[in-house]
Amino acid sequence: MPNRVLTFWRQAGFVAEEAVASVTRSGWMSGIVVITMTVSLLILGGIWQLSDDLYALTRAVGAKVEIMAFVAQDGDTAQLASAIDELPGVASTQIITKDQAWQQLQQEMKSQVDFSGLLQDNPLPDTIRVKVQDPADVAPVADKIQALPGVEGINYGHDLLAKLEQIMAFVQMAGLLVVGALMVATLAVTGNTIRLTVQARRREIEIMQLVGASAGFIHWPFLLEGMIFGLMGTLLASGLLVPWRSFLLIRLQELFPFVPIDADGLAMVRLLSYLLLVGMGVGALGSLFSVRRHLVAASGQ
Amino acid sequence: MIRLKQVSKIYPSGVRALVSLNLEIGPSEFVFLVGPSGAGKSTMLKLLYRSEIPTAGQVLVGGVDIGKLSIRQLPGLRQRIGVVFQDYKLLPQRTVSENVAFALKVLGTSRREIDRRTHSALDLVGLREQADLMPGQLSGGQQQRVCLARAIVNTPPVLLCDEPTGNLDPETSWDIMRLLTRINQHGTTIVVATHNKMIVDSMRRRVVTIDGGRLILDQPRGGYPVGVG
Repeated sequence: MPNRVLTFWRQAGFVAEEAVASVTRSGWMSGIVVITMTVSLLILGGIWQLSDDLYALTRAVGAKVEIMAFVAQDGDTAQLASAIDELPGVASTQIITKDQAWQQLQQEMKSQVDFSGLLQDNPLPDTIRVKVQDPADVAPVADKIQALPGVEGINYGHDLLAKLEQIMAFVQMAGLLVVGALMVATLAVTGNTIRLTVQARRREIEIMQLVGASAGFIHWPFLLEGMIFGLMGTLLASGLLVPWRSFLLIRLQELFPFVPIDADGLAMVRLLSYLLLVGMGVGALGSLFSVRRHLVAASGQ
Repeated sequence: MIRLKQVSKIYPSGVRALVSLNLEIGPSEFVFLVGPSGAGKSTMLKLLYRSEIPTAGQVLVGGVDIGKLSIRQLPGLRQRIGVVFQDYKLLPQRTVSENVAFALKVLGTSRREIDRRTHSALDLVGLREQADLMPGQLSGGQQQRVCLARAIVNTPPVLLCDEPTGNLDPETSWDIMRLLTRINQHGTTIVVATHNKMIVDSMRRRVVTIDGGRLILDQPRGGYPVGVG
């Protein structure tokens, strides 16, 4: 059916022409939609990055957190270490014998205390230093180690981790709420502005219906118009997000020199493509609502 | 070509626009639809291009009961019916030729075909010179001719005109009537709803009179009925 294909392409060309013409013709209204889109996407992207960074930070800090397991006096250190090694989630273990610990302590305290003759016996226990694979596993792994026979006690950065996790949860929750509210607002503003352009083009729609354009065909220029708004909003938001991101990364690195924040280019690309998807989706959806409402109202049925 | 069987139309407001109306219009006929304001002329035209659906009865165009058409089938009907309005309904931001071409572009006609048909439609209504002007730069009569060109550019078998001369002076009205006559001579069925007594009286065509939503007079070669506003 080459004829139908040709007709389809001609109609597609017409739709594209109409959409672009409409964006340029309704100048200031288009401007408002694009600015609203830009601001929303900017906030969305910002929150996204913040939660991404916090997650990276938690991981980085968590990776530094080790579990120190203290071996009971009568415990078998080597056997315990291998038992810990077997636990799921454990990355590595390192045995610090009480002698090593004692020496290290003496080394560290040398200038302040004279140990010679202070204590006859080494009061320190053997210690097993445990690294976990995933920082999120620190607490459960620590619980399991504590339950092992021969473990006298454990110590890890429990409070720090808990606090970080709380912050993460809060940011994600608040982020979700803000993003959700923003999307609804953007949808409303986009839909309303496009409704104005639909109103302004009432006559065009009426004539399209009169000369026998299908309802689907009438929708397309408006859908495309919404997507163009989304595209422009995303481009503008990206233009602000990318430089801001580089700036923020440098500052963050200065603030937390010990944390390896990866300036992952791929993460940025991923974020921008999500934004593009959201922007164009919201634009298309906004116009769809407006046109549909109008078409239903205009067809008198 | 057109057949109305026991057609009634009651608007949601309760207004009874048409009551059990029967009418048959053959191919290539030229029919005047007359009657006072609010008699149901516009409603009848709207039923014919299915801007409205009858409350009861059947409206047949080309043998098809158009009340039964689905939304998907509606474009097919609209492509076979040209409509001319009193207020022209032109797109103010497009040139004359773009306005006429619009009807073809929407249907995915090829550019060459669009150019060819737009030219010949504008030739027919005598506006070739004005092709690149905006509607706002034209007189009322010229705008009505653009509307007419758009209605016939797709060569529909039926042309409906709702008060085509309502806003025009007598001289210009005659221009439009001469054009409609020529289009009718090409075989197009034409229905003109009008108040224009002078024109109806001089054309000596079929005159259908509606009053209060009922068909009260159908004259094969009539004039404007006496006593109707």
